[in-house]
Amino acid sequence: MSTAATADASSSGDTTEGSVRLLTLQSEDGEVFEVKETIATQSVTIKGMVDDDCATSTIPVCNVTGRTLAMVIEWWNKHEIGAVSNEKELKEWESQFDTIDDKSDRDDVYDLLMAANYLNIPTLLDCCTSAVAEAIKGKSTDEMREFFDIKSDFDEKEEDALRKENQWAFEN
Amino acid sequence: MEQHKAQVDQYQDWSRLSTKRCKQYKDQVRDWSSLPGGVVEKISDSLCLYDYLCFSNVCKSWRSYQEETLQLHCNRSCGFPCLVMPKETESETACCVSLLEKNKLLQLEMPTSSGGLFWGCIKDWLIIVKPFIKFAIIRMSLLNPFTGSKVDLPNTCSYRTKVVFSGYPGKQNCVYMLFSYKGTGYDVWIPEAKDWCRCCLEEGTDDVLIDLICFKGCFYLLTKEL
Repeated sequence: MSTAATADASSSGDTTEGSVRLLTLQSEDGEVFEVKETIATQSVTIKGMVDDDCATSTIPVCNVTGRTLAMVIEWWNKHEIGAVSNEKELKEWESQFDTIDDKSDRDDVYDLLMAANYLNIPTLLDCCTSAVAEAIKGKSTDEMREFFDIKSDFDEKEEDALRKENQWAFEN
Repeated sequence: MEQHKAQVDQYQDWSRLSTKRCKQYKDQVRDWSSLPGGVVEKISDSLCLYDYLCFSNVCKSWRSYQEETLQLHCNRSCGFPCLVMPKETESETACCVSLLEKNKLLQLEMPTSSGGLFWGCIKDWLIIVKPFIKFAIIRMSLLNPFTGSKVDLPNTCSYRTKVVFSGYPGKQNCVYMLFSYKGTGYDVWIPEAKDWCRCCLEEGTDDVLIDLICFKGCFYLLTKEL
């Protein structure tokens, strides 16, 4: 039964590698990636499409650039069951996302957060949110604004009230 | 081995792509204040209270989650937990240690309370009692050290276990109740009444009072069968 399904799929334009079906993902900026279905279904969104039989042609991954999608696929590859021999090695590999003190790391984590949220990849989302939480720890409100380059969008009155009420949060 | 090599090649392919694309996306502005609600929620959940409060002051979207979840301030901020230290009998200020603001000491002025004892607090109201042993009465009042408002309650003749109120003290529709642990009666007072009104549990029961709370404007008495 499963062989028949695979054969069917390949005849309708899908590529297969052995018995593993390959999915075609296209990033927002037009880059095309071929990914094993077993790996890509770490994304709950893609898994839903596969289950609903909507993954037969190229899957457009809007809002995610090719550069970010490549990082996401790298994440999937590392987190495929059996890809990394032990938990320790995986944690070591994941640790590259732990610090976001550099602007470029921060940008990467931002892109990955958006992609993980859009594609619904719980493991990646957990990793990125905890990196952000770690960076936030011990920072005052002003330091957080500077770190993430956020301009306060409270009006003058609200901002004054906030500063008055939570003076401690703005000092360190 | 072969497979491994293929994978490495793939990575190199991506990193080549990455470099090519890098320039293009380097200048793209990442707007952290526009993180999706679910992501903000997830980040907030892993922060301790102190960091969380700083975090929620950053911008409106980072605050929206706090407003949704922390509805503990009725219509105005009650401030953050403070530990009030016993004061010198004749002093007009009391020393407060803020539990959140690092090593911060406050000198709260409370002239109206001089000579009284702190008998605990409800929300941001301190309960102050002044015993007059000669007349066998205890004068009670509620003081809000942050706003300076004070509400005098009628005298009582013995220490009760707990005082609760239904609304915002000082408002006309606020009802006050006093009770003693393991007693069979409780006192009710409404503003403008001369004295506490003594109420008893239903006659013929052996129940005693264990606790008294006010939740959303209703009083609940917890009783226990003896």
